[in-house]
Amino acid sequence: MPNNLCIAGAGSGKTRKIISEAIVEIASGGKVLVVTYTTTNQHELRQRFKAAYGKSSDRFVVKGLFSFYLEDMVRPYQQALFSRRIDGIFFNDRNPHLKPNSKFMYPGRAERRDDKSYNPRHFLTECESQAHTGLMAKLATRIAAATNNAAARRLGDIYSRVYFDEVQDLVGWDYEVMKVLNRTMTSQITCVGDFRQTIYDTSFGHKAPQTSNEKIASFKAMGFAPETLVLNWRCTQPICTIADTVHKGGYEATKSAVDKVPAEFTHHLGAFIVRESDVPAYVALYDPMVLRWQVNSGVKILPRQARCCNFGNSKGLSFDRVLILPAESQVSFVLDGAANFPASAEMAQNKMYVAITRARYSLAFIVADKKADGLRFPIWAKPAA
Amino acid sequence: MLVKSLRLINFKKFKDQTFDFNEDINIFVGDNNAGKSTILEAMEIVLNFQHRGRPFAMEFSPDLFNCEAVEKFLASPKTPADLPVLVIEAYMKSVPDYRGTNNSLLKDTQGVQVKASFDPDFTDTYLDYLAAGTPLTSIPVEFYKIEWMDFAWSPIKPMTKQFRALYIDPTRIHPTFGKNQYISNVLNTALKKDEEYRLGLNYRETLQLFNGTNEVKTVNKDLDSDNKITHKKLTIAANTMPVGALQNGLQLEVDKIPFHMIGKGEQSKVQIKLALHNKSKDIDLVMMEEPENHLSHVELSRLVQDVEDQRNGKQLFLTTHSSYVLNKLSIDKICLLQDSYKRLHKLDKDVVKMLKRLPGYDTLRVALSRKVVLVEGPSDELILKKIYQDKNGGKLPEQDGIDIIVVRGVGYRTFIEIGKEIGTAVNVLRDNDGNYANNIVAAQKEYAAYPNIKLISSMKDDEFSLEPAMIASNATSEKELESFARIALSTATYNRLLMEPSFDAKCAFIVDWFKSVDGDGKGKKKVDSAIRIFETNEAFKYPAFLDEVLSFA
Repeated sequence: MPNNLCIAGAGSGKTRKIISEAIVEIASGGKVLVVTYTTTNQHELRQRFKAAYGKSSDRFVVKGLFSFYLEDMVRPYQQALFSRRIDGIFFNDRNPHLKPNSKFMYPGRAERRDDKSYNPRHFLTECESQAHTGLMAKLATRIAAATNNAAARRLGDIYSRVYFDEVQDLVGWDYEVMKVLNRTMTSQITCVGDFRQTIYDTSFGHKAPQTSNEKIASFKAMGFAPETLVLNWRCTQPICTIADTVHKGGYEATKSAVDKVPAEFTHHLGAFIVRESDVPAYVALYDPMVLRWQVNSGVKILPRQARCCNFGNSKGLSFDRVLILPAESQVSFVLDGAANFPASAEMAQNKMYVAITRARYSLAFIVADKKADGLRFPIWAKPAA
Repeated sequence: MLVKSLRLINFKKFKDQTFDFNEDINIFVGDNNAGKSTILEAMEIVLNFQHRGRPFAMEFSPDLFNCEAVEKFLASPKTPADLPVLVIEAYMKSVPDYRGTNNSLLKDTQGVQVKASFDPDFTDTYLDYLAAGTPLTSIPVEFYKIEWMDFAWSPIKPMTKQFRALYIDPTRIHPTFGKNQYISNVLNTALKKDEEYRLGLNYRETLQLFNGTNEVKTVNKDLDSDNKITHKKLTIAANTMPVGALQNGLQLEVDKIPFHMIGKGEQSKVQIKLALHNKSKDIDLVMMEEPENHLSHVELSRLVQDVEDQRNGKQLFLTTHSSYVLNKLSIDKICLLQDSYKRLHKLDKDVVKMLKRLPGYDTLRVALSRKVVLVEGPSDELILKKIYQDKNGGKLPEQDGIDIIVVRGVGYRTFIEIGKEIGTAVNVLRDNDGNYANNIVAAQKEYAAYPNIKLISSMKDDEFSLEPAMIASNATSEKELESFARIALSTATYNRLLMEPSFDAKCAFIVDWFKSVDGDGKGKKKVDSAIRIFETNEAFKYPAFLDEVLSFA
């Protein structure tokens, strides 16, 4: 089987797909690795596997991306570059070599030293026992080159099938590692991702690919066979259709696979605009999950009893009713569905897509009272007291 | 999982040594103190992180270091860099997770390593300690860290360990101390995982039933009825166990007798068999020390048969002092610990087959001796011993490490084949059976390539065995012959010899006397005569080729 790229939409059942395929693989004597970025998704994969398989199995292994890099791509062959054991990882939220608030690098952090050998300071913390997360993919790539891809062959010996979930969050050097694996490993690799949900960066810098289009192109160039999961098992068709308008073109239209709505939700279905002043009433009536940019968004608008979740954290979750508090950069999408997000606002765009696709039955956007009239969604009318 | 080889650095008597193993059975053989048990000990440490059944980290002591390494350290400036590193590495097969280059050879392969080295976190403390001038007379293990990792450099976690190795040594069971750990090991091998969980749950439920019995209720009612002890409710209840503590509450019984109380022989038998059957099929490797201990020959032969029949792909490591075990489990599985480490896996297949059929052969003697003399009969042995004694101021050959072994028929070839493989110096004394050129010269050619194998016999065809050769050496005169006959023959026979009319007739009589009767009588005559020669204080002569038999370069 050739390696494949599975382009999933939100709610398209990618986790279900991975798990059902993994169970078949295990039944035929194989061993499966799933690499994923977020801890919530790791947890979710383990739980759902256990539910589907009846018990956990040591032949279904879930690893976080950095654990995967450290344990499988770096440490087994790190002797090629560095002889002291790399004990752990050091999480970078920014380039560790840049001086704070500056464009200048600390001295002595170049990748190679004067004698051309690799500089531990580039990849590791000062004590040389921890790897910078932002440079691990690069380190893995360098080690692969120095060892004739030994780590990829080792991985193929251990696992008969490897999944990379949430590949939309990989960037730059991660793709170099993917190239190494794709070239060397005999076991099938399946990359699963929803490129409309890219909201994290696993590294920094400007190495391509960075944008969703570049990433998909990169997979195709590696020879991954693309496949799209168009069904959405979570949202009703109106919500799917609205979600598709966030990224115009480029993706196949989503089809809702939800054919029955439980009776208790039928009185309020579809998409609505909620005036800022009506938010407390709306929350009191429907108890929706409020999705927002960050913790301090909308503190003045939202009532205390509202259940809230940040866009980022809501990834992978489902809620019956969702109330979205758009950020500045997302307001124009709510007001005018015809306008595209500018290329510079990919993060805002993707977060909007994530937020919309959390909703099973009803979706509502909070809009300032004076702008609420005449929009593409009906205004929610507060019932008379 | 299979262990292909073991490397020991600075561990006990091994400064730096690698041991290659067979994929099926490995039988460690060697003199006492050769290091047989040390190898099993090292295996237990690197595979189970246990030393003699207890956690290795707690048992780590200066005594585990190689003496030479310790001396070198003590003679050094004792800086952190001078502290010896102790390494035990098992190189494996079929555990791809454990693959990497983090081993002492920096080789891309699978395996597990235990490494005890100076912990750099203690550098300051250690340097302060040194600066204070406190004398150091041993390795300061307090400043060491012990790591147990695979070659991919991930720590080995017991829960996710990719293999299971079992160490069987019934001598470890102490009536109380360490009993639980041991029994739990035994139970573990006997039960499947889900059986174990079910039992555990059931056991706990049963304890709850106990809490509900009338007796317990009655006791609890009166325990603190007037609340003098506490204002709260005071009761007794059966211990609720943590998960996995089931084994502490259970014991294995054989015919209703607790396992640790039955005979040691039965213990080791039961345990070896449990390990072999291993219901949950999760044991890859079994180590055992001297399975022959505490067992009668009959029991041993049954056990060895079971081991052979039910091994089922498990890799076996055992030490033994029993030729029976060795021959039966196949002599080519021998791992000989002598001056160097040697395996016999290339031994001639016919010899192996023969020994499996005739497991009585004393192969261990050939394997363990450095100098061996093979003779055809006990009379030859006695005479050679006597000669050696006379020449060496009363010392017997075994006191100088020369082992004279009596072999018959096919035994020669078997022993010589083993000698060829191991390199033991083997001097073979053979009868020429009346045809030196045919019987001896031809055979010598066969061993020409092996300078350690010497085939010796009288070159004269009429000296068809040792006796005529001895007679010929003592027949330069009639007087000499009579004096030899007086030593070698019983008084009655000697008197009959004296009745013979001539010197020639006397010679003929004595030669004839040794070969006159077939069967047992002939052998007995020879032995009687040899005993008389062995015990005499009189002088006699012997053929020169016997000197050659007793000389080792």
